[in-house]
Amino acid sequence: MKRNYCRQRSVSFTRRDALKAASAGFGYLAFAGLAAARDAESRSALSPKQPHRVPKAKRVIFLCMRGGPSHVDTFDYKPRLRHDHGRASSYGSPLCASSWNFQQHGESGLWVSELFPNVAEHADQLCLLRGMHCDQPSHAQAMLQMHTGSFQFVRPSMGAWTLYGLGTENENLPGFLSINPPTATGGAQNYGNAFLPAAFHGTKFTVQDSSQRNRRIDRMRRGEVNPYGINNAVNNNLSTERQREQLDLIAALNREKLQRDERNPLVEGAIENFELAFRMQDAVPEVMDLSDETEETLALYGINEDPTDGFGRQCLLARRFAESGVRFIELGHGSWDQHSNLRTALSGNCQETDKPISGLIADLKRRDLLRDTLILWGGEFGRTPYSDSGTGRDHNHKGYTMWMAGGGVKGGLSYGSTDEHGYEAIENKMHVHDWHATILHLLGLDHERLTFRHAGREMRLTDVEGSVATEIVA
Amino acid sequence: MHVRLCLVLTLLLPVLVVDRIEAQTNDEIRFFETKIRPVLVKHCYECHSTIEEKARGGLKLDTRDASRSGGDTAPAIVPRSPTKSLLYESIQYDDAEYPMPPKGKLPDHVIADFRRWIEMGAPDPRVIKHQPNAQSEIDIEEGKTFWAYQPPVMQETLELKTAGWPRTEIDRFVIAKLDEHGLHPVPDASSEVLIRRLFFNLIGLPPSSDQAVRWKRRMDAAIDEDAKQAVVAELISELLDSPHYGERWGRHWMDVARYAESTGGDQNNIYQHAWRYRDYVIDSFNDDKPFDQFIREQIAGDLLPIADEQEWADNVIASGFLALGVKLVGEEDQQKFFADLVDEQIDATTRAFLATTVACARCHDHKFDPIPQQDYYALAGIFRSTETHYGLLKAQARQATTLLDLTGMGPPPGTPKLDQKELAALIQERDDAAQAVTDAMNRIRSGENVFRGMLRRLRSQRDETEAALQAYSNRGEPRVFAMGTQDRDHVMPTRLLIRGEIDKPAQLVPRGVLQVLSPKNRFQFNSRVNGSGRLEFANWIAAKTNPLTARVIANRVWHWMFGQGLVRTVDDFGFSGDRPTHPELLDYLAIRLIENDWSIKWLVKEIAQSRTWQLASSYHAANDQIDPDLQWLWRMRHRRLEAEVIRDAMLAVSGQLELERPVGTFLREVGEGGVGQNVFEPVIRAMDKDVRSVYLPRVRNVLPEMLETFDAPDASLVSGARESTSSPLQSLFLMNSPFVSKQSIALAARVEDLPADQQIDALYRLVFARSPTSHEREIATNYLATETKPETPSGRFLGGRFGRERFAGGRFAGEESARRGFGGRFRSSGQMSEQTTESETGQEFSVLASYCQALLSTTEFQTID
Repeated sequence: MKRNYCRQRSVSFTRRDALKAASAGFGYLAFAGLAAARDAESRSALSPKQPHRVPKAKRVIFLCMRGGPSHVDTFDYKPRLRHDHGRASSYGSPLCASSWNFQQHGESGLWVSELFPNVAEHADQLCLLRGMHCDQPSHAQAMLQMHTGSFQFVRPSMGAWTLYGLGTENENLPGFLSINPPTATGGAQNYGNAFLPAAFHGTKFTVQDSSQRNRRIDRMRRGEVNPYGINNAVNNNLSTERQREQLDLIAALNREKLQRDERNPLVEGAIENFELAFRMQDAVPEVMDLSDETEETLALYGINEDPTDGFGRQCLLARRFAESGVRFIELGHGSWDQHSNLRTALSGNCQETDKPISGLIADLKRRDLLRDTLILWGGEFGRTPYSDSGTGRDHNHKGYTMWMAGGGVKGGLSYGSTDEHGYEAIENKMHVHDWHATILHLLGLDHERLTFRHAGREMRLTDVEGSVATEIVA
Repeated sequence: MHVRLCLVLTLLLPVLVVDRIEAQTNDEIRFFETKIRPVLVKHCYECHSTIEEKARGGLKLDTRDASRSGGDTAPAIVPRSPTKSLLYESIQYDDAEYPMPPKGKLPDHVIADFRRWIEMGAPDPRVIKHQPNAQSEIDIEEGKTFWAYQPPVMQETLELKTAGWPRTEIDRFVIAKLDEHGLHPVPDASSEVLIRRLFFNLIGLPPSSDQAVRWKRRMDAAIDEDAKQAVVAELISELLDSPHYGERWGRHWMDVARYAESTGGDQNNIYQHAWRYRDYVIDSFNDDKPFDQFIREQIAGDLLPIADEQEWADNVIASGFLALGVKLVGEEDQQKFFADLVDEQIDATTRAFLATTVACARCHDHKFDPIPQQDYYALAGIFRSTETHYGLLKAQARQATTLLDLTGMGPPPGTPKLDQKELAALIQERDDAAQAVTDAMNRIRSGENVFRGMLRRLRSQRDETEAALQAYSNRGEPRVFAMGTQDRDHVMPTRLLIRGEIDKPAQLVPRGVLQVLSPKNRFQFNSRVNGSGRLEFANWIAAKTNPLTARVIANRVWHWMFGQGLVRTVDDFGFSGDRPTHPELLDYLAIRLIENDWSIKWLVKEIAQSRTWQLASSYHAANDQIDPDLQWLWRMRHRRLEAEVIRDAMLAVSGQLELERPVGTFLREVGEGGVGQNVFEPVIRAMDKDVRSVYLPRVRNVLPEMLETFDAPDASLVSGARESTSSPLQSLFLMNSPFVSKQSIALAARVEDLPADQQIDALYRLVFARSPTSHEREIATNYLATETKPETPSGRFLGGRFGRERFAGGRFAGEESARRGFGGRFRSSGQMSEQTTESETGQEFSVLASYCQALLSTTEFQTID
């Protein structure tokens, strides 16, 4: 534990040394010499690092289903619930059977509901975590806990921790991307670096939403001002060399300020961001340009068809980013918050995501990327087996299902369980802290050794909790 | 005293009548059960019932009350009057506007049954049954012990270890905490830093070079600290008196008020008149309107006593606060829409003024705070008895309302007058559109198959042109409309809804206020309260005795001054929010604010004069170990400026900023309707207007790119604390956006005529309000010198002559090319490079502009220390 901590801290010494070296000189000579310092510096912060042990997974794609997807209608088969439909439950309201049928799939015979016919074909790749639970039943707090481990304090998100622990493989792209993150429910904290150095901050990308209206607006956007997936990726005034010199100037000026302030995360963040932005100008349009994908691949993700186009594009982009060496990619979809109207809204959500997700699994697999890409699926909590409204389900943080695939987890496994109705996790329970510990473990990181000193304490993603579910590791 | 614009059919009051059970004989009930109900179930429920979750045309036919209140158009069933019953008209089919059921006409004997049934009074046993009374398990008296619900207390003078340090009362509270935690405040900020901090915090603009120099000279010349503070006080007063103070602080309030110019939600229709509220807020801050008065006007402006029409008009505009929230105006079910509207008003009002999340108690008792479900419905009764006028056209938004007409009462029009020709053209347009609808209807009557979408479009055009015409008098004078509220003629009895569901009403809840903030048994309104009760509600919030109100606004102001509140969760003072770091200080500020007649300017000044606020932002390792989050205020925090302020500052230093307030909104050209290409374009174009950002279009989900990139909120919720993210997308904006390069060129042009050795100093004074260090001067000299060496044409920032031609007279011509990125033609420009054999000066200017862009891109420019 201690050794690792020293190694991490040496990172910041390097940064500070580089800074001193850079500002000790004077005039344009020192200014020109900055390029070397700059490279050394960002390399030390973001360059690939040795994990604590041999990793099973090299990168993560987190399919974040905001709002709390109903587990009892999707991946947590509860025959008792149908049997007890309409009966008063001990939890308050009458129990409510799922409107969908479940079937066993694959050699493993995992139960998956008819809402996910395409994903179900990959049953033997899925590792269902059916004993999930977390601390809070409200969206913002559960969302923050899922992303940062804490619902009370501003803490780094798991993407930032991952980047801090492993660095990134492609310095021309952000190492941690959050595509279409929520604006509410914790907002930018869900992909923030908090007290970790600014280099580990998640970068927000907006990719077209799945709704028709947004898609239309987005087409306009792309047609009018945004042909490259992100805005302002092209400079109309300066050659690359001249822009490089201009950025060196900006960096030099920022360093002047940083030296005066001694510590200023705003300046440190800007220095990192300009370097990354400079490199992204070439890399991002290339990654986001889907024109070299075959018709077959596009179809695999449900691109150019309703209602899968929106999330299909996100999933395909996730594969392309994964291929390009991005360490942590989060995709957002929602809302899955069906207090009422479960029947139409939930099946709508599933229709939008089923084919794209299945396409992603298949595509990663055939490119031999599934092996070391960890896919995570789930939301901040699940939903109750009873229905307050008769047409929907309430928040349920006491028991719900998430799943993993690829990245060194056992496929075709159902791990943990809830009670007979799906209300509370009872066996092989997995708290969000355990989930985090397990994810880090698969990435070759020991959640107890991945620490950063802040406010006089060694901070961790898992705080003082978390244990690795070794049973699910292949 | 006011005329309402009637563009749309009268908004039907959604009535939830569950009290009367008329006497119905068994025979009548049997008739209904055998002849009527089966037909309704078979032919109507599919599109008009709760069980199918559908209410086409706003109509449900699965309860007696829903059938009688009807849908968007008229009551479906009027007992004893088949001719007035829209349902009967529809099933007769031939001449009906809505022939039903769509699959084919019912047999004649069934139609006859319906006639007979209506004639006998439409007996209908499908009456919603009341649920048993909901009981709350919350212990209100216990809840009152929570800090936020206790009245603020003025603390006795503190014993201080560091007695010499404080300058004001605020400092005494702060140093006590610093001592307690073993922290030492850093030195005071330099006068340069302080001046810049004051300008940005108070008016959201950088000091001009002259101002920076003049105030610095005066501060530095002061013989002692008292004298210096007198100069500081003078500067504070000057800034508070500036009209730009209201633009800066009004924008803060607009974050809280979730101000936007469209409905958001499913259809996102434009609110053409929301800008009046924007101007009202800015003026209120400039006038230093007492905050309690500001509260009353926004919640109940239309009900306040007034001296004249002008005052009434202003107050009505203030009540726009309640009207401009997010709405799902495509909702079919009118009752649901109305319930959601009321919910949004409860949420916005209680969060904005009380930092309390009452809306969490809609479906059940609040999960964390002592707010029983009854409290929610007590407030719901108030807002249910209120009409909200937000406009929109019925043909475009299912849930449209009228606007309030303030013509001739004083508020200026938002559009120019029409001349005779324009007016005639508008009338012609309207007549043509109306004729088109008539023609289409005739074709339908004659049996022709007319595409329904087409009819909808024609009706929408007709209403749009009618609305456009109604916006002028018959002499072409623009009329003045506003969003706002009015009381209904009658109080709407309100029942608690079990789980918030419309079809599960329980006990009647009298109107009233929150129990936990009221003396025991004194939370319900006297039954003699006439009108909606909004005025009583507003007075209750704005009362000196309300323990939350003054604390909440004092904390907001603190947050806007320091970048972090004494209670960090500025919109939530409840159990799941944070506790105050300095509770005694918060109470002191709240009490003093009330004593100073709720003057926000007083509070801003009080804070700005404190030593705490005037501290430097310098790092201190030992302090940082103990308190890295700065909750004990041992230094000022570095803050990134808000999106609007960065944009305004760029325009200011480039000399392009237009400080005049534009009339109305840039969305005027869009007209009524949903958000689409028509809106997207003006929003993009508006970025080229050089007005302050507070006046840019504020359309939900379509924020101007720069504002979005730098974290402006999307106005879906009350939002008193902005995000401040840092991302490479911001860097890309600074490096490559046309806007920034335009400002860079303008900035370069401001100094290009100066001798080279003065340019750098001049730029530093303009951009950073300080002189460059010798190292910075050296960096600059080297950059400018190196870069002027001959190079390939593609490397030019822009071809000098061309760039500046467009810049002639200090303004850019040719918006089109500016939008594309004016450098565009110079970049890949093999074709240009040959002909532009440029002069040395052209190249120098390019380099100077690229240097200027670098200055605007620095963190120092976008932050305050």
